[in-house]
Amino acid sequence: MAIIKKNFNLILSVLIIGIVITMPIFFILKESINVAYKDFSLFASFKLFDYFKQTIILIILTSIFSLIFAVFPAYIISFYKLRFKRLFDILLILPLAIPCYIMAFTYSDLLGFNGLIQSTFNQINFDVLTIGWLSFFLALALYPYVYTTTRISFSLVGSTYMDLSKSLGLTRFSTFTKVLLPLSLSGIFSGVILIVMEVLNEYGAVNYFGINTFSVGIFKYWFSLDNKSYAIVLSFLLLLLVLFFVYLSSLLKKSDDKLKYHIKSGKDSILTFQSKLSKNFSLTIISIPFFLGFVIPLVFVFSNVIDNFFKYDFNHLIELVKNSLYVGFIASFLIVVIAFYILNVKRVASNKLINSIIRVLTTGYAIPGAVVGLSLMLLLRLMGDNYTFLLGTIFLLIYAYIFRFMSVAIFPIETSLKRQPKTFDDQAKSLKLNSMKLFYKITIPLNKYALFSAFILVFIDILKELPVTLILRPFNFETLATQTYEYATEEMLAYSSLYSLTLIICCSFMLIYVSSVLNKKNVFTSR
Amino acid sequence: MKRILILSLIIAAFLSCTNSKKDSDVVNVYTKRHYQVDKDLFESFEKDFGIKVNVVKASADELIERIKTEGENGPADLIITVDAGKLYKAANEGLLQNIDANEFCSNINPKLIDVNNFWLPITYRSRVVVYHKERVAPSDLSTYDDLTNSKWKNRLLVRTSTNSYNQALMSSIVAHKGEEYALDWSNRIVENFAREPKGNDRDQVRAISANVGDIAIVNSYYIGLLMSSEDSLDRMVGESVNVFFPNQGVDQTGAHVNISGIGLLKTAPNLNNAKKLMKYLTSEYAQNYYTNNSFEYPVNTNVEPSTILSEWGEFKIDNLDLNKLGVFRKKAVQIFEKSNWQ
Repeated sequence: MAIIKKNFNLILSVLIIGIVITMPIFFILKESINVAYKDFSLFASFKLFDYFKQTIILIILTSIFSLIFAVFPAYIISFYKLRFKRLFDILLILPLAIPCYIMAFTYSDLLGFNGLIQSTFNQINFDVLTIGWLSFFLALALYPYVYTTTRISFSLVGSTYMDLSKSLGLTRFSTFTKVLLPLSLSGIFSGVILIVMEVLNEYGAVNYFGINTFSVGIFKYWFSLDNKSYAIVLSFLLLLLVLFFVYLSSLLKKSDDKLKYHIKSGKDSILTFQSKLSKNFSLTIISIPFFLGFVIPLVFVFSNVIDNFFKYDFNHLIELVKNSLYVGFIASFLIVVIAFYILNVKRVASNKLINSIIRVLTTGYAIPGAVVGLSLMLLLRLMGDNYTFLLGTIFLLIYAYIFRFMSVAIFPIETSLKRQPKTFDDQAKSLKLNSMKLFYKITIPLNKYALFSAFILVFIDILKELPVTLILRPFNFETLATQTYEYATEEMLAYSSLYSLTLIICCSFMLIYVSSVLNKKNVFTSR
Repeated sequence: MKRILILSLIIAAFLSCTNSKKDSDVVNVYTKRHYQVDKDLFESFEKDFGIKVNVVKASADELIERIKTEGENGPADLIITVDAGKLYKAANEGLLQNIDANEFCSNINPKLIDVNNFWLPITYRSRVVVYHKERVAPSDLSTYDDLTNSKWKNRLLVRTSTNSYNQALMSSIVAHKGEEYALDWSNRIVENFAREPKGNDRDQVRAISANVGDIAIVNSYYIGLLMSSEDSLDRMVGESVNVFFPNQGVDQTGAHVNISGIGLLKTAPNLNNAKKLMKYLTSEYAQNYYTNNSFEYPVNTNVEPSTILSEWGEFKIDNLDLNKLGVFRKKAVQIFEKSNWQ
């Protein structure tokens, strides 16, 4: 209670910021309650099970593929003696530069009936438009989330446990399954959650593959059946599903916090490969995700660009880059500032209210972008004529980005702030630094790499963002993502390739930059 | 904190509102069509008339929501959709104003004109059956109804029911023959599927070429686009099939058609410019440009369809009031749901 009293203003400010940002969620909540109150029969007549089933299958398959692509390479790179370790670390996260829909469209073009593979080898004949293939493609674009979190938690486990299990006579395999995996479970899972959220809000690729997920259901009911209530209820269920996953992860984290307390890790224990064969095998396995997830799509897009080089309008390209960077920069900056502020308040005055505001803020990531856009419009209508002028301005677009991508900034900043010992605050106080000075002199410098990487990660996500931009954008406003998508949906991949190539290159550079900075600062191996 | 606040304020000040309203030399268009042809035509309109065309592109339903939200002071003048059903929806929501048929429709194919004068067609296309040239004899094909015949079991390809072209086709069937018949038709079509619906229209044709099925329900212009594609494999796919217009018999309804059309908003701030653009898009120049580049049929009766379209021959088009494609839309989607058409 004392904490609340002392920091009343801070807590109030977070509450207000939190409510303003999460207004779309409250709107969905309110509407769902209205619907349930009015018409219970709705739930009975619903083909809910089918949407649920296909959504869950897609989530599970994508997660499994992502784990396959991510965990083994992370293990090899964390514990084995290897040349070009840092290079591999960077290469393995590069597929994040490729938006899911570009990955799916590119591969379905490549592997489809008319694609390179099936037309070259006549004997091979298969349908690529299946849920299995889709999850494979999505995993190729998304596994870096799991790779990064797994890599961090493996390096946190460190050598003590590894040495211990070795001296207990455990084989490498059982060390991996009995020691390493259980200890890293929560880290791995936090990466999986990001993948789950991405899959839940994916629409373009999912619809193209003919799979009924929640987001496809939402649009079917909203538009085709003109039934907003059904759509809102589905959105609500989607929210519940996400909250369930977030809850699961917080459970794991709790048990994890107890564990970490006992871990005192020393230097990395470097294992050596037992034979040349096993070395080559491992190298092959860790190269595959990068090769499939980055090299192949990039080569495909690049060759399309070369083929059509003289047809492109490069002035248009410059305009698209300008637009993309413009909104991306402003929104990412604001997101990082807000996230940092809220998390700092949490540090000073941690209480249940603030914790739950933060958890609600993270759910925005999983709500399909188009639902965000539509709820915002309905919300504006509810607020009255005075606010509708906001529609079609950059303001609303950026607000929607803030709502959608807050969680992307929260995760890294939260982790970094946790590492900042509270004793620093006390020492600063004993040195008579006021809280403002403390903030500038200690908190910001200590967390600058986290802030920086949060900024870049949000920036990349906004560059790739599609549905929100489509609905809320001002006149004549195209970004690299919208232009790519427009051509891609019309199956004019060749025309879209210059824009997707630029998008991929921009994102890749930022990823390379951020991961090399983080590597230099030894974020993966720091204790 | 103060510095951050000030910085944020400065940035906020930089964010300019880009709403261009009531400017005398602009017209603001919300459109579902994101084709290169449209972009080209808007540019040549700008050159000819000195009127800037501002564009927002999104799905028709999203655009309708946006217009509703923006209300009376909204900036939009025109809405362009690829489905008469959506224009009906916009009119039904009270968003469109009547247009003067004498002013706009003198050269327009009378079968495609809106009986309520709320919208103007700009192009049309038919939802046709395409068949493999060798594996199917054209004499085996006749009507949409015949597609339910068990001779097509495991041979029929079509995309998912979330697609508005399929929804429009189903709406026309409900309009002609009633709900009960339509449900039965849908059930039996599902039984004939060569695979679960997926992909876009072009993918159905590719699947024929890859021997997954023998016939497919697709929009006519996709065949034109495949046949004129720069990709040699796509051209091969296009060449492997023929187009068949269903329901051509004397006592039959004719092939299902749908329009791309344009609606004039009640709240249009640039009324005269909007009207100029409407006339321009139905002019002979624009109509020729559409048919030769996007392989849609021209609505202007003075303009001939492109060579590829002409080769398929003339066909009888369904006389149904196109607004019915909107009226029966909900029923159509419910039928898809009931018959498990993915």
